[in-house]
Amino acid sequence: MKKTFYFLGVTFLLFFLNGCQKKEKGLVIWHWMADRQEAFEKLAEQYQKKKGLKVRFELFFPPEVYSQKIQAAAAAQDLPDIFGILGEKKIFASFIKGGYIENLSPYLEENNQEWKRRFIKIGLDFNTFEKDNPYGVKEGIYAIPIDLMSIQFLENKRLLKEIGEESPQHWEDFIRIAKKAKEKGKWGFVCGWGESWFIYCLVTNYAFNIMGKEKFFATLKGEVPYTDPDWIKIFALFKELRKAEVLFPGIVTLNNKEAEQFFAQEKALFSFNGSWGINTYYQINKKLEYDTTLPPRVSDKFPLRIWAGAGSSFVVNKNSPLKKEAIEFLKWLTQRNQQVFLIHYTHNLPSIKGCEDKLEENLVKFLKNMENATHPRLWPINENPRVVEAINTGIQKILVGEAEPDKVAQEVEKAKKLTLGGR
Amino acid sequence: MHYTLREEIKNFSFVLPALVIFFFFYILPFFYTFLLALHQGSGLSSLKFVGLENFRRLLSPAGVVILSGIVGSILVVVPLLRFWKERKFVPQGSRVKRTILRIIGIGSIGIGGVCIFYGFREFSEIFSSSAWIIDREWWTSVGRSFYITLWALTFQNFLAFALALCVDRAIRTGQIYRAIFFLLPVLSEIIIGLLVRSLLLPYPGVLVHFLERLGLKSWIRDWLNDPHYALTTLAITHCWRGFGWGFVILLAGLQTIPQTLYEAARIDGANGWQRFTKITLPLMLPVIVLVIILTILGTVQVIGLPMVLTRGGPAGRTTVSVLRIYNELKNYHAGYASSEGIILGIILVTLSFALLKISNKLKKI
Repeated sequence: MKKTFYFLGVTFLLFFLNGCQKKEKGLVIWHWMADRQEAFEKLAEQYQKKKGLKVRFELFFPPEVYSQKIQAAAAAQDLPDIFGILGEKKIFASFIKGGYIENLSPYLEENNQEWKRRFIKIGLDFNTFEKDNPYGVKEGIYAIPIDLMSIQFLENKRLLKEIGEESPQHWEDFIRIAKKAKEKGKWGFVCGWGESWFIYCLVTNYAFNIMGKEKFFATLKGEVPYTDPDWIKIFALFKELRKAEVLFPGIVTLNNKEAEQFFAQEKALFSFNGSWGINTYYQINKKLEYDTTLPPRVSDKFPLRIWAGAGSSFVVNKNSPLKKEAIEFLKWLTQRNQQVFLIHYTHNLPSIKGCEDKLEENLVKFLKNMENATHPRLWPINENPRVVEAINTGIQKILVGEAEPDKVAQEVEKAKKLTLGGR
Repeated sequence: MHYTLREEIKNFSFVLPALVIFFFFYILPFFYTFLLALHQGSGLSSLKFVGLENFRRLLSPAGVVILSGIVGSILVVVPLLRFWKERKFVPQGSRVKRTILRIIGIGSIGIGGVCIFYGFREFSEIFSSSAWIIDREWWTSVGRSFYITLWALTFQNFLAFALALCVDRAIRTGQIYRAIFFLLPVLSEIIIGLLVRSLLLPYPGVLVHFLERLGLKSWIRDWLNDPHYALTTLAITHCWRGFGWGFVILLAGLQTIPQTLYEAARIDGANGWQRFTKITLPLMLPVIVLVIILTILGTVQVIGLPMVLTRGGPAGRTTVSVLRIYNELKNYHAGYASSEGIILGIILVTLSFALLKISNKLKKI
């Protein structure tokens, strides 16, 4: 009996001592960017050589898994020194309100805003909470963008030339050209609409164009119903796409990577994708000639807006014992040399100014139209995820010929009413 | 046998490490899920207590009244019956065990009382609420899960049983078949999903090409993107992947039946069908029930396959219940996701108990 007790005692003691061992001092950074892990590791090595501080980048992929990881770590008060937050601003706000994220404004303002002035404005705006914001967060900048992104229409220049057409400016032209491409044996349009947020992205682009900013925000506030003729007009665009038979087969379950692959293989004339796709296009077809453009306008009444902003951002753990070191590292990471290194390695847009001369031709294309940029994170109000889900599902129904635009509008409005009623 | 308190503590200390692990990794998350279900929010910052609001949305007020009534009654009546038995008969078990059970019993009565109280409060809402099913999407997703389960219970299990019967006879080669059929369930859902997706995608269309070559053009469908076929495609893929589990368990069951029974029946003049219905089936009943329960639990909880195969589409047609819970969690609706998880759990536990009861009754026949 005694032996057993001793054995148990020694075992527990060993576990205890193992847990108490002194950990090597160093920064721990969590992220989801599988394509950047190698580049990050190289930068971490450089930083250790220069500053003597070890930095460890830990990758959690896919992004859904990463999101769950940080949720769980936040609940367990076990977040790393630096991490990123995925998702809408409401989620970002809940992390700030939970006391997990450091307000970086004071550090950005130091030395006559030396750090702040480095950034391209939209990247920082993305992570800014204004005074009296609807989320109840104290005003400030809470994350540092490490790259930018924009989501635009892409067109295959070679195919376009082959069918004797030019970049479409209006919706009618787009449908006509896409049909023409179909006749020539190519698909008109491909997109990863299996990832339904892409649908919502395009819907909001056209909401800005057809009804204007004010009316769009009024809908989000519940002041304009989704059964409004302007909304039905937006939903009807997808019916038109279906009727024109220009959509890539199986578009409703295609994921973004598959869509990128098909566009790179020149199977489709147009696509709708983000700047992150450059890497895939380059890897699959180095000879692919493409250009970016705004989605073809439906109306000339209001400007069309595309989604753009910080591609990925890092926040600093408010409770980290290495908070100062973490901020110093982020300052270093957003210096020109490191940003240029990241551009070359990952083919992403830089978050700071002054790197334009180092950008390759295809990246520069995605910097076009930034004056037309918007993003849900910059809006004063965001739609409830349940309504967004109803929109995405409804449009998929239109695309597979299961529902008419007005029926979808009614379903979305029903979902909206439920959320307005607190459900 | 009676132990002194010192002995009881000593004995208890041996199971303490296991209990601690069990408490932190099972009991605590289990109760935390219930707690979360009564709140609204992401679980990151402040959670807002909303009582049964999540359940009200899920079940409608009438459902809340019925569920809280049933759960509350069980939580109150079971410990009360136990206390009554303890008073009437000689107490069973050790002192420590009795004390723990008493504490659990009192806690259960308390929680049950709260449930019943909420149920009564909700009663008036039945008449004021116009919507009987508020979250139709959730119940549709549960329906989809059970549609796949139906396929698994019939197609998958019949296939598994038929193959197990064949292999049971050819026992020399049985090991090879066992290994082959067990290969699919061992492979990850993601790999199977990606493989099937690449075969069924309308473009480049491996299956389409194959059917064309065979002259079966009329069979060509958009299996993944047509709302009429997507769920059935998912169900068949799930069955194809999963039948190996049932096969291995059923084969193990078949091999425990003594051959002497069959020989005796053969001598008595029983034909193959009679031997199957009078010997194999009755003796296999517990194993079949086990396979059915495991099939239901495994199929209703399927998530990886629809995520990879169709991402819940087209138009939400393959969004099964667990995928819906996952989507709610992804949208940081931790409270609502928890309440969905609890309801699904209750459905599964009820079904499993019902099946066990039915199997016990059948055994007596």
